[in-house]
Amino acid sequence: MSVLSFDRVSKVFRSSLIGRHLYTLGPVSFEVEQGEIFGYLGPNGAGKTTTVKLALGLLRASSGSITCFGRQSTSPEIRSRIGFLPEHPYFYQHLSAIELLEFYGSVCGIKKKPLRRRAEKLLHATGLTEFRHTTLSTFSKGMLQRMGLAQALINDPDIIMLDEPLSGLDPVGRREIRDLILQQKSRGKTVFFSSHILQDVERICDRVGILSQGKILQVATIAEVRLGTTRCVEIQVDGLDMGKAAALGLGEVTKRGEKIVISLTPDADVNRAVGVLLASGAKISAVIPQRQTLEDYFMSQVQSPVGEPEDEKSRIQRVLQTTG
Amino acid sequence: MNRVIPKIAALAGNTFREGVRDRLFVTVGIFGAAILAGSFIIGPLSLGEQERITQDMGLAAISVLSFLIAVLIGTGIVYREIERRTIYTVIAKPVQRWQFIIGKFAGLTATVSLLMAMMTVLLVVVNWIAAGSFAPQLLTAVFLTWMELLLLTALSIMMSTLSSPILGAIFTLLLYLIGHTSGDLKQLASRFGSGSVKVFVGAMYYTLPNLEYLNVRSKVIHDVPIDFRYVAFASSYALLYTVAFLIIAVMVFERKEFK
Repeated sequence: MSVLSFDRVSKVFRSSLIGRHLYTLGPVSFEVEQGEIFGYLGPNGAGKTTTVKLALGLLRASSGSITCFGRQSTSPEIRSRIGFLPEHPYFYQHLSAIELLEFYGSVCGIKKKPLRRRAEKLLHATGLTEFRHTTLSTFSKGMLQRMGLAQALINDPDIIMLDEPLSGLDPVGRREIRDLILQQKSRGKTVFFSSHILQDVERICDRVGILSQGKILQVATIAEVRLGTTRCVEIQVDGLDMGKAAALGLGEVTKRGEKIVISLTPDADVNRAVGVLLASGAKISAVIPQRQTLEDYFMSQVQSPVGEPEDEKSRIQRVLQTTG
Repeated sequence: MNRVIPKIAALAGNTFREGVRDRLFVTVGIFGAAILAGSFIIGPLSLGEQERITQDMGLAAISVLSFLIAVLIGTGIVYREIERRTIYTVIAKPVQRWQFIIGKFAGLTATVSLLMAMMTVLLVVVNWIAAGSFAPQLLTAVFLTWMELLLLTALSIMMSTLSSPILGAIFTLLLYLIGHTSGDLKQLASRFGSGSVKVFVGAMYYTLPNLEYLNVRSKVIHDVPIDFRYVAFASSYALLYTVAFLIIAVMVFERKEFK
């Protein structure tokens, strides 16, 4: 069941002074399913943040409709079921961590006692309990990002929209936030997650949508991306020098540390290659199929658009035709 | 409705907290206290007019310093939220845009009211020491000044939805000055002005708020009684403009996009 649906949504930004069209998104159409983590990928400037802002009513769509739980996504009733973490979150510097969470909770209409309990729980979950009375002006970037996630979860939302939630975090911080996101999924929540850090998306997302130049190029599950193709099969061997390995003519030979690595094409007969290597006195230490990564998939999508590449002028004309 | 009030209260509470934690509030508060104390020191030099001097200086300080706080905080109150991007997470919550504006207005009004209340208490004490009695008329003047401040706070917030804090502050100051002199300007124009000047000044006089309706300081100082009906009229006049400015602020803010 889809919980968030974009139906031919577009956005045209105009320069207020001369009415010139500056930037366009869409039209984009895609759906986010109940209980999944949906990765929204795209290079910088592709329109990821614009899409999120349109869903939340921070921007108004030029055409199309966005529905969440079957209703217009920008209505206050629906927004009470959405949690949002903006890219580079900025918060009131005069408030302490607990005051900030209590403020957001009150704005969501949560009563005082349950709100205090929820705020304390979220501070604990994001590792900020000891900083609960510290004002946000002294917080580091990583702490602000964790604070951002805590405020996004204050209303126990059914769908969480995260715009670049892992950017600017150190590996420990990234791991913690990833775990928190996975925890939400295990509670049946839906997560919409925009990012350009592909490794993180690959680790936690169920499906991805790839956006480039304001257009959705592909929507696929991570399994489809991974299983789509095997790039090559690597055989790591000992007891053979580069010359001898190359002479066998099995595939490309490289040296990685002390190991000789022979890369076979995806359609090569691996059993035969292993047999040839053993017969030549080599010792096999590993046989590793190298599958397509999300990065390979992303690059192939972004760099090879269907048809001719579209320039900005024709892109604006296309969007304007759909917006009337 | 039961869910609307707590949301507005939360927005107002946050604005109030931000206001009173601002260094500007403390600075203006100390400055106000210094002026009130100063009036007590200068008073004896005025040969028997100590009470009037204290009242005059005290009421003027309350009016001007509260206006300063309303303008300096108010004209940036929405603009800065957008510029600092703190607005993204608030507007994404289940809060309506009119609630945001009303919350900001209520919070800033509470901030200004606190400053006025503290200075009024000090004025009453200083006046008590100077005259040995309490003049209830003082509170009438403070009340009408408070009504004027409601109007000016709404005006500042409206400016904040329309322009940058500097431009907003300049326009608000301009309207404040015109508001206190529009009656005189109209008289001058009717005596010496050309036709178009008369029309222009007349238009200003009838559309912009006449803030002199809310200034009863000289009456209070000279013990001229103030009729209750006059206070009711002046208050309604101020409230009408306050509501009008807030409606414009909401209309502008409803159309805003946050890029």
